[in-house]
Amino acid sequence: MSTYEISKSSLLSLKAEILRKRDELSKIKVENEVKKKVLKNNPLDIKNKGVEEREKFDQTEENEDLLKQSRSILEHKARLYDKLSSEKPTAENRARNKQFLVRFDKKQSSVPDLPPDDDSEPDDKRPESEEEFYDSEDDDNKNPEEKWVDYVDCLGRTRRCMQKDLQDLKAKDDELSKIVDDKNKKQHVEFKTTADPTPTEEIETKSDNSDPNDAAELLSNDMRREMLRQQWEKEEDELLHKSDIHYQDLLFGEARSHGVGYYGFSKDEEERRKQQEALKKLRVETETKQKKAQELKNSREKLLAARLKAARNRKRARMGLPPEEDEPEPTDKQSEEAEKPEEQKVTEDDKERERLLSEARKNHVRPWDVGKEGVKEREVMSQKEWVEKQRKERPKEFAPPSTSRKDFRSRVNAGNEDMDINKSLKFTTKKHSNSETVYDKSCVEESCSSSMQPVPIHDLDVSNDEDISKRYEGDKKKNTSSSYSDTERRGVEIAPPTTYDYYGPSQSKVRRTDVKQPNIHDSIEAGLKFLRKQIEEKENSSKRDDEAFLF
Amino acid sequence: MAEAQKRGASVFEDLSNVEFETSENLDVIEKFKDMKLKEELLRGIFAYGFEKPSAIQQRAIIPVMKGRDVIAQAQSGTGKTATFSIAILQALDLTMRETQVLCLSPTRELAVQIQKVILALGDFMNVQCHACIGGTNLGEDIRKLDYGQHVVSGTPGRVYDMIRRRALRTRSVKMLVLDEADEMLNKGFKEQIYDVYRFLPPSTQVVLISATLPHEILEITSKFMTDPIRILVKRDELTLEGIKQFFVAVEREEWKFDTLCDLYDTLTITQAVIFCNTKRKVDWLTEKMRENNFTVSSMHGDMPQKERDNIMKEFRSGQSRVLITTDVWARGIDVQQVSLVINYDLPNNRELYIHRIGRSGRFGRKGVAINFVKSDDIRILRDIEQYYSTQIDEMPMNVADLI
Repeated sequence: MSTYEISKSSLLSLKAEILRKRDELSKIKVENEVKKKVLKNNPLDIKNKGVEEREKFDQTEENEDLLKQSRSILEHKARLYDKLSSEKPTAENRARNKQFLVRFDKKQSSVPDLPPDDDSEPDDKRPESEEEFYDSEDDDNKNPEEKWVDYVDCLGRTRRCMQKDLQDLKAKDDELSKIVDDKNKKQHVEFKTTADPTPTEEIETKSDNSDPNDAAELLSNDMRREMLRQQWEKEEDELLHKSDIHYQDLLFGEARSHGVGYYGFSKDEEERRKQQEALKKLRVETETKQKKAQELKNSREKLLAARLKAARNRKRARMGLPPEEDEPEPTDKQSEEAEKPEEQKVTEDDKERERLLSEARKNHVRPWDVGKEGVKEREVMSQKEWVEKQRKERPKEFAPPSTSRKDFRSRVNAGNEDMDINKSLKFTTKKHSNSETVYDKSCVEESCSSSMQPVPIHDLDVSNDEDISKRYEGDKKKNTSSSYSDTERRGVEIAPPTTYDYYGPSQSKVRRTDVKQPNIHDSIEAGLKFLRKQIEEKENSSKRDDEAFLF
Repeated sequence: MAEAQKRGASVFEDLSNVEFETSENLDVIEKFKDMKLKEELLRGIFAYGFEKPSAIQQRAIIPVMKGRDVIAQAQSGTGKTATFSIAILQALDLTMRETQVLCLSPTRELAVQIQKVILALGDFMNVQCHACIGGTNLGEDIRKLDYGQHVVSGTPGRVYDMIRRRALRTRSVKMLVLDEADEMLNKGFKEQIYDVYRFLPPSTQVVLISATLPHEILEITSKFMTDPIRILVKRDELTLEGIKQFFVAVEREEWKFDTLCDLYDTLTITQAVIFCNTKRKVDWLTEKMRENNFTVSSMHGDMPQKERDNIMKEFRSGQSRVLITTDVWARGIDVQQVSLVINYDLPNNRELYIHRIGRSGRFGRKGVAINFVKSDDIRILRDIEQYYSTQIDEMPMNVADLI
């Protein structure tokens, strides 16, 4: 079995290798051109190749023409296909059809051309019988020794094979029948050769090749599959009675390349243990030998060093110099020691931090763990949780009156809210909801869209200002609609947005000015005016600059 | 407009990265030998065919070994399964025959595959790992668990069932691994994960692994993880250079089939996977291919488990070359020889696209993905292309030359 496996996988990898080589060869030229282009660019600028070009390409009208052109070609092709497939087969047609890879004369199929929709059931017609299929002249091979022959296998299936393979197949079939016999009732093997339309003399092929691999190749697919499945089933039945299951038990002839160190242990537990022990012994042996070799090498080096030293000393003596002083050998150790204290300091710091962190992790209680045995209620609550808890406990009548609250909330939230939304433009983490109906949604949307208006100020790209603001609005609407969905709003306890440091509190101040809802439109206009003014000023100043340059 | 979208996206991405970015001060260990692993485990790693740890393995194995909660993302086929498998094996106490690690995956085939990887890497350690999946004999499952298993790899439904029947004792479980975590924490699975999680000891170490981790998934991790170490990949680095992507534009749905027939010779050079969006379509396409005398096999979730097993074995052993399937096959399945993926239908979301094309090009091998697109699908494809900043070129159709 093992030799069989190897040949199978190596065959696959061989074919893969061929494909790879071919692929490489054909792409080398193209690749080279692309590489040259890419190398010129700054690595930061590199986009994936072709992305930009395609983008441009998509926008040009040429593309449309091309699409039209390809459409017309495809339509033409479709007509041709239809014609070819609807033609009645004549001798002339057949000769021509042989040039095509598509069998147009066979295209009148029983399976519908269109895949099933979700509501329409595919036709349940069976495909045409094999008989019809093989009788076509397509399969009539020109080589006279490769004559098709029919026979019935032990499972009662009509099979067709080459005359020359018949002997082998029959032998294989006999084997299979034996296997099947054990399981099922006996079936007699029938065997018949159908008369071939063109009688040709048979050429006996030398089929003394008894290589099992070869035989496996000759088997019909179904038969091979059947045999394999039976084998697998047997293997699985054996597994049921084993208490220990190992990798080899589950391989089932998988075509996988392992590392060089792979050792296919036996499936038998006893045998496996022996093999592992043998391996261990080998390993120990190798290690001791390696050690010995190393020692030998070391002693030889020492000897050599001593001899060299003696030679040097002799030389020095001849020149009238005193002999070399003994150098302290372990120079590395000293330097190591010197470095150590610093490292230790660092590691101690790290250790301390790590200890604190791990303690914090240990004390942390995951929400999904709450209520499990041995999990205490959280001792330390965050500010948020505390406030939330208090709110829940508060009797309703002690809540701020809804009228004044409305104002208050809308005022506070107008500022917070759009920051929030600003945030949610980028984050999806923060969630809002409409569960709390302090003020209605339209109001929220209005207020935030109005206060969002000034945002483009921060955009450096002033020229397409309108564009950007539109985009912002669009984005925001998407965001608000999505982010307002499920969780509750947190109101005041919302942390300042991360943009706070960057943009400063000025924005929120601006927002706080639009206290009352009726004023919103006014404030929008004011904002826009302010914007316009700024832009104009900018332009003016740049103009002035230009002028200054001119003068 | 496209530019505007891109800019908007980049703003979004920058700031979302402020929230969830790869943890700092991650140790990168460039050799398995330097990871202080058990000797038997090290031998298993080399025997399985790994020589040098991949990027994710260099970063994620150590924190998982140390007992930290970890969220690990890496491109498809870069050894994520092996990453957590190695860490699991290192953390196991083999003298105790109790379930110490629970590993959940969205499909049965994937759970079996993980079992196989753990057994392979732990071959020299004689580790016991059981695949606890639906569609198999309950009694058998209970018996196997009774023997005592170090690791249980399973699908949430059966695992939960086993826990409730007290066949799977969770007292000694110290690690929970969610492979394909984004799928596991999606609507369909999240409840089941919660159910299982409630049976685990508090503060069990949790490890999340996937090639795709959308933001909303990262958001909910705080519910069951403690200060996790994150190893994330930006989405424009998520597609592999080694997988070349093409599309074939077709005017009508029927032409997809003809195109597929034309490509058949290419498919069988090594092995290929063809993805359809529905089980019915898989059946239809299989039947139609067979009717046209092409050898194909097919697999989907409505088949009996026995049949699914056999088809997997046939495909893994190379007996079948072309597999028509649904998204049941989209995630995690590793067959080395698959070099071509065909999206007969475009996937329903961007994440699935990454997972589907990732069935080819396993662990440094080359792969090709071909998308069949009708004219109205092209926009979807372009969206995918933009989203991952990758390139999907048109594959030249040479049918015209044949006529």
